[in-house]
Amino acid sequence: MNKVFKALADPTRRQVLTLLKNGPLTAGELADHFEVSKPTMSVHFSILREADLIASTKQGKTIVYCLKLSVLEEALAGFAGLLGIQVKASPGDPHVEPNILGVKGNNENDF
Amino acid sequence: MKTTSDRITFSLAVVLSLWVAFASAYLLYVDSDHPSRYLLAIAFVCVGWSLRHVLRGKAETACKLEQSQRKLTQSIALGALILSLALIARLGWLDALGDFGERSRGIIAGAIVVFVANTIPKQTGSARALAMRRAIGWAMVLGGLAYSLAWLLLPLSYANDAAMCTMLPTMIYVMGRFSWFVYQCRSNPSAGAR
Repeated sequence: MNKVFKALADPTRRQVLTLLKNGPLTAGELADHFEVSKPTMSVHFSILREADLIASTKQGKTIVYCLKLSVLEEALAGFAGLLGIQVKASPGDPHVEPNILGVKGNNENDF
Repeated sequence: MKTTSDRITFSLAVVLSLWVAFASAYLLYVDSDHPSRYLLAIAFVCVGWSLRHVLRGKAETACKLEQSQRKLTQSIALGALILSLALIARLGWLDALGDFGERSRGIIAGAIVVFVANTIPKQTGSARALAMRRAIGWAMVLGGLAYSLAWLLLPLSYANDAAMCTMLPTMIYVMGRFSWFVYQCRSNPSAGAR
């Protein structure tokens, strides 16, 4: 449950979940909606995947992400968005450049 | 790797299964006029644990085996919990609690609906299937919650009617939404099927 709270505490990750509510999207399509680098997006995807909030399937060279939220998790995400909950930057946080801190995402492999 | 939650679920499944087996055997001995219902309860437990054992030989990887066993253990625990409550009611222990027993029966029934419905959207699929699962999941969670709250808060004389009034529209909506999904899939199979 700790992983779920950590994943939902970031507005970018909540935005990713909101986008996926309309249906599965590729990593590139998702990244187009954000003004952050691809490695940073990759770390966001990893955190969401670890928390079991999204599922990924490989289709050829691209990775397609699909929403995997329970009702409780969706309600938590809604509350977190309503209250504007946001975590402070920490070594595991992708707001900070992941390569500098050695955080492992899939980096460009996702795109 | 087995986590603490896995161990707790396994222990719970074992305890509840043993309880279901013993209570069913006792009721079978006492109430021999209706043996099928108690035999079915014992059969459920036996089949569940046998399937779990058979899985060991079938799974391709350790990771898949762990995932399948986890899901099966959770299902055994939930099934045994529902059967346990039915057996407790059959043994007459809830009647001994009076009003509280009647209320707790309704509250637990609603809670089980909420618990099961919560996980309905947590499956992958096409955009259309995802939208259907989310709608059904939310409807059933809210319906189950309203059902439990009706039994918890309203006077006993109204509680059952009010609880049914919340659950009936939920079920109609769920069936309607599912029928609409099936109709859409048949009339236009390619749209939204990513």
